[in-house]
Amino acid sequence: MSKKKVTLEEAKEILGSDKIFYNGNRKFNVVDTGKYKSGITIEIPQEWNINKNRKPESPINYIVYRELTDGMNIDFNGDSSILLGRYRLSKNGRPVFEITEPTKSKDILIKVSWGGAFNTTRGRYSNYAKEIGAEFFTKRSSNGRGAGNDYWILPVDFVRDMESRDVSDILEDIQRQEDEMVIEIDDYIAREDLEIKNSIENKDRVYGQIQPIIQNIQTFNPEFEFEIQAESFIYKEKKEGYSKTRRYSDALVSELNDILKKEKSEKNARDTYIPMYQEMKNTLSTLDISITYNNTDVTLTAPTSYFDYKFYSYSQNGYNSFINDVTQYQEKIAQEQEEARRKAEELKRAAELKRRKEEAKESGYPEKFEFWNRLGGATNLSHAYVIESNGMIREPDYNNLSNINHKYKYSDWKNEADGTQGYMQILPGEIIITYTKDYTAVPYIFDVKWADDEITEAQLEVICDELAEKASFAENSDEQEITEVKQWVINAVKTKAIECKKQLNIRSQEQSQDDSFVEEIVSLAEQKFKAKEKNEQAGKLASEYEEQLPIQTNQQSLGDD
Amino acid sequence: MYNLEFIESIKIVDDKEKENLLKIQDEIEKRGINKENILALTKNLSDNQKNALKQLYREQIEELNFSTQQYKKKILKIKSDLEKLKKFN
Repeated sequence: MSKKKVTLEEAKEILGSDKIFYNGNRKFNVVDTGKYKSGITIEIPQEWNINKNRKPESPINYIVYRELTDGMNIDFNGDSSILLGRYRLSKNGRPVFEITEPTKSKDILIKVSWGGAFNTTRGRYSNYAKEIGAEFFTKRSSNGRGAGNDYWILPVDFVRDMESRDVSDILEDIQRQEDEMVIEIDDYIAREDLEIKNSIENKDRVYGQIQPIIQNIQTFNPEFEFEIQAESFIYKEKKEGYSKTRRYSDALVSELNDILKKEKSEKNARDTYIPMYQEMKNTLSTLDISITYNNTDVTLTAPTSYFDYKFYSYSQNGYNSFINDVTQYQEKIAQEQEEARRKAEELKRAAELKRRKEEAKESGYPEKFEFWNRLGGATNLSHAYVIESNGMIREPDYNNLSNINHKYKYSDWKNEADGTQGYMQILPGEIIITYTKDYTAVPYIFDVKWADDEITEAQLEVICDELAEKASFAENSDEQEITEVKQWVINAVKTKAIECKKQLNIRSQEQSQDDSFVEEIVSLAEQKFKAKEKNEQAGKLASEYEEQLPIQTNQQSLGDD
Repeated sequence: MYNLEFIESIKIVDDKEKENLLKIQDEIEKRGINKENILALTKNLSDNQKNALKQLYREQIEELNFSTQQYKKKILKIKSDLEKLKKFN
């Protein structure tokens, strides 16, 4: 069995603690202190098992063995792990737990981890442990009591509320597992020793075989490097960032031959496909994409994360994927640019509309127009058209439609429901035409509510289409029958335009009067401001002169004024 | 018996119209003399009030100019007195 006798200094270094003492009995006493630690003294042997790296392994190694802890019939309220050994009190009455081989153990030190993020366990408290009959119990927790460890010491064969049980099988099983691990490590070390011995013996022969292979590999891949050591051969590939250590053996010769084949094949692939990838150089440049040629593939870097985690091999499939992705990216960028252009245009149009609305408001065009809307039914039909000069029928800016359920029943709810529809700020060139019909037996009544100029061809066409169906029996607001819709619309708009223009002129005159008043007040206020300034300066100067006069003359002078 | 007519004549009667116009003038000076401020502050005035505002400005300018002239005269008088005193001394 591979064990190593460790010095006190080595033990301190491995356990990361200064509180370790040699107890004169070929054992160390480790005071187990620190955050969440038990606070008890753990006695460990001076000879420690070694691991696969031939380094001594600490004997304070808690293991999870549920069969042993679950059989105790105690809900520890946390995750338990154990040390096996013997418990006693020191001469000073301090708890000491001596770690022994599992089969020689009498007691068990149980560490119960509880709490922490997303964990609702909180361990147990000392009164519970006392009630159960624990030989030792301590609770170690964080300041916030949110996480910590409980430490229990119980007889190894303890069962709550029952006679003790036979745990010899379990202890033997643990012992067996520990022994197997030691054997496994011993075997591993023995195999490694043999490999090293063979490697040293084979070195010259194998090196002679691999030297030309390495040279060949380096012609295909200059990034391939190697290092000759007494026991091992190390090769690394700088670009791909890997490094491997191998013993001198026939397997190494075979492995390097495989690498040579691979490098040769990759070089051929690169020679074939890199020129093809390079043909796309200009396209990539216009898209601000940079390309990196790796050993086995190419990667792309774009201003967005589109090509992150994508790579394209030096093969037809890789190249096809590359072309496909670049084309898709190109389309995506074009779409984004188009979207940005469309948004900019929308903003421009909105700004232009805002300017037109402000101008229209300034010029006195109606700021709001509301009309009753009812398109279906036998009575009280009514609708208004606000038509732009290009013939577009404007959508209402708001709807106060009474029958709101319609909007769930019909897709065309705006036209089905009854209520008021409103338009904000009528613009120059727009005309408003309405119709009403009180009940079935009376005619439609057409009316022009607003027009500031003669109707355009586009407006005329739209409105005639809209009204044609209703015109078989229609009147104007003066109860004159309308026989020819087109002619009626032209004339009615003309008449209305004269009336509206008058309103706009009056408004314009008022505006002009307002402007002239404001200009006059600006001028007067400025004159007053200047006069006030001059007056204050003159007053100040007069006071200064007054102070130069002798008192009597001063009074005389004031008296004269 | 008091002469009621006389008592009426010495009563200080608040000229609310004028007070309102003076407030508007103050506000114009505070906000700054420009078309936007004047339009905002005078848009609700009637034609009569607008004329009264103009008249008020004219009167104030006239009073200020008159006062300035008086100061000028006073300064000339003091200057002349000082000259005389110099010669006398």
